[in-house]
This record gives sequence, structure tokens and C-alpha cells, in this order.
Amino acid sequence: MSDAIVINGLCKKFDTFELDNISFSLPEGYIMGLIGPNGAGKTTTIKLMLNMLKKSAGDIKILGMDSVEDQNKIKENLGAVFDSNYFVQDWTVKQVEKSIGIFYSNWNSEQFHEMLKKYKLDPNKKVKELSRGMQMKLMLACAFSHNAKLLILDEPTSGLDPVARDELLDIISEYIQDGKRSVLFSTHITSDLDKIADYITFINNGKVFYTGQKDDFIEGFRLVRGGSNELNREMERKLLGVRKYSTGFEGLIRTEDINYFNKLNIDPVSIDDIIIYTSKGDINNE
Amino acid sequence: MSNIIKMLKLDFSLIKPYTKTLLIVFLFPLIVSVKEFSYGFVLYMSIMAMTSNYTFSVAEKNDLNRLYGLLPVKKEDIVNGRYLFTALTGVLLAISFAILNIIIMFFAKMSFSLEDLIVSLSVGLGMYMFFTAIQLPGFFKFGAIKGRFVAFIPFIGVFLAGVIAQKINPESLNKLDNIAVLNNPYSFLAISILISIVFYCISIGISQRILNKMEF
Repeated sequence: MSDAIVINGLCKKFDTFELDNISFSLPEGYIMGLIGPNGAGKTTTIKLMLNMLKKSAGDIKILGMDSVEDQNKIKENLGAVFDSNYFVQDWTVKQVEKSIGIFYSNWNSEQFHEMLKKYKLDPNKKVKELSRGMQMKLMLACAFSHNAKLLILDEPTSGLDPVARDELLDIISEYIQDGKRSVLFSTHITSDLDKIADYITFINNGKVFYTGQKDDFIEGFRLVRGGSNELNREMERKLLGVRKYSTGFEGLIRTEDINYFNKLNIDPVSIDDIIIYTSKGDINNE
Repeated sequence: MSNIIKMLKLDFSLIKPYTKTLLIVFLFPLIVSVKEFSYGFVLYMSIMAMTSNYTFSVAEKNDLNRLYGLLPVKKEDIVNGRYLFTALTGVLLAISFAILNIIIMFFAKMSFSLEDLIVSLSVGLGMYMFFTAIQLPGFFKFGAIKGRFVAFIPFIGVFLAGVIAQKINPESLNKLDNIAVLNNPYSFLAISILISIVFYCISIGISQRILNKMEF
């Protein structure tokens, strides 16, 4: 099995933020969720992958090609969906095809029109007249019409209603069915990932906190609860993040450290819990 | 199809939804300046150079940098396509102006010479190319909105040239008449084209450097 994405030691320095030594890989045929709080470095990572930003160090290989040297070949095989559309608002759906299709040697006009029918997109409607969900579908129709092998989605579900979000997730699941296409899905709506992601890469403060299979990620952490007098120093050292109340505490631990807390209440965690506790560290609600 | 031609087509697509508005922008100065062919043409082309930020403006308004980042083209192609688009627009405008003038003169039974037409074409088109060669790197650097002031720089340059010319001894200026090549409309056109190409080459080089440094 080959990898759709391989990133090694990726660094990018800004004046106020640094993406530090990011490494992860996504095997072909799978969906990876790229998660982290706002400002963690998700969009920066995506922009570096698309060569929209210049990396300070590291290697990015996409579909086995170098992201800088082979950027045109990569982009021929890559589709992207952002939180808002990237077409001229006054273009009609038909004009989108006319303007964008010429850039792709393998553009399939029949496929594009099939997609329009499937997604109920009116070819004569202007982009600005489409709802956010429909604009998302138009970006997907473009990606599918040049047979993109890798789909990169940057916060695609933000601002979508639950029905449109669910539809989008169905489309993405269908897209990887042949086992040769892959998806990198950046989001902070983690319930979306519960449904479709196979892998997770969690970035926090410009560093990779976790990368690997989603189930291992969720299984790798536990939520521990106890009274305020039940927390000793050794336990505190093992807490990755803690929320303290006047009556007790609630904290995130690694599953391997469960023995230190065996007299306390221990529960499974959600992806959201992991993000919240690791991002905020100590939270005092006293 | 080369990537430059694709970018040229994309630029035409950018302005396509606004064709009606642009026609008014293009036609109004045309009607105003049509009475006097030579001066009118130079005036018209100078005004038209002011519209060279239109594609930048549409791209900026629609946040198209993300689209440019996704397309399988290099930044050089984006720059070259934009210059080709601007130059082609200038040529099309010049041809439209000349044709319209010839038609009007024909019906008004006014006389005109081919030499006059060629000299006006050379000055007007040369002016347009010179103006846009100065403007485009500014638009690439600052964008259409922040870079609006760039559009006026060539006019300031022409104004300053006029002020300086007034201070030059008229006899020295008269010597220009003796330069044979300036008296031949065809060689004047050739020189005008050559100078425009040189300006554009320098300007393209600067714009490519600007865009290559830019991150979006």
C-alpha cells in the first residue's frame, strides 16, 4: 500500500507563530482528520502542501511526488474544498466549468454534468446565488471531474447545516470507495470525524500531538474524575489537562497511566475532550 | 494549450460577467475623444490604461488567490497570462478605436491619411503599454485596492516630462524633427512596438519576482 501523503519534519516560521517539525503520513484509500484548535496550524499545513506557502524546512510528498518540484503534476490530481468557495461570485455554474476545466488535461465534462444533476446544481445559476452547501458541492463536482486522487478539505463543514454536513460526509465516504483515493479533512467539528475518519493527526500550537489511527487515538486517552482531596502530586503529573471545581476535578490522562487513578471514576473520551484538555492545560473553574 | 494561454482565457473569464459595465467604461471615452483622432486616441488609450487593474480587482474581490494556488500552473504563468491579457486588451481597444474613427470620418466625409493613423496608433499604443508596464508590478505587489495609487504614477511621470520639456530650449526640441526615423510613420510604429516590448519584458521580470516572493 502506497502513501497519498508523506510529510517529514515540516517547519514554517512566521513572526508570531511557528509550525514545528510536522510529520505524518496518510495511506492511499483512507480518510485522515486533521484536527486542532483554531490557530493550531492546520490551514498552514494545508497551504504548505499546496505550495501556497514556502516551507522553512522539511519534505512534503503528495501521491509520491515532491510538493514543490512536481506541483503542477500534483495539482492535476488534487481537488480541494475550502470553507468558502474560490470561484468568481458572478460566474454561472456553466462558466465555472468553462473557466476551470481547461486547466486539467483529464477534465471530464460528462462527469461534471452528471455531478451537477446528482447534486441538483442548476448550470445557469450564479455562484453567489447558491447556498453554502451547494457551493461546497460545486467545488466537489470540479474535483471529481478531473478525477482527483487526493481531496483536501479545509474546514468544509463550518457554517453548514446538519443536513448539508451529513450529505457532504456521505459524498466523501463514497469518493474513497475504490480504495485508490484519499482524503485529508481539516476540521474542528470532530463529530464529523467520528463518522468517517480512519486516521487522525492532531496539531496543537504548531506541533503534532498525535498522528495515527482514529481508534487508537480515542483508546489512548481516558477522562478521570474525582474529589478535590483525591488528587495527589504524582497523579497531577500524569494529567495532560485538568478542570478543577470547588468539589473536585476532571482530567485527561493517557490510557497507559490508568493504574495511577484506579480508585477514581474513569471514562472513555471523545475527540473533543482530547482537544479541549490538551489545548487548555489546567482549567480552574473554582 | 500552454498555461499562459489558459491564464489568458481565465482573465477573460474574470471580466466576462462585467462585460456590459466595461463596454460603457470603454465606449464613453471613445465617444468623447472621437472628434480629434490623434489627440483623442492618445487620450483614449491613457484612460484605458487606468482600467488595467480590473482583473486584479475582480480577483481580489473574489479572493481568487486560493484558486490560483490550486490550479496546475506556476506563478510565472499567472504573471505572463496577465501581461498578455493587458497587451491584447490594448491592441483590441486600439483597433476598435481606429475602426470606429474611420467609419465616422467616412460618413462625415472627413479626410484622413494612413500615415496619421499609424502615428496615432504608435503613440497611443506605446503610451498604453508604457503606462501598464509601470502599473502592473504595483498591482501584483499591493493588489487592486491598496495599489490604486500606482495607476496614477505614469500620469505624474508624463506631467513631469511635460514640465521639463517646457524648460528645454525649443530649438533643441526642433532637432527631434531631424531624426529621420521619427518622420517615417512605419519606423515610428516599429520603434514604438520595440520600446513597448522592452518595457514589458522589464515589467514582467519585476512582477514575476514580486509574485514568487508572495505567499498566498
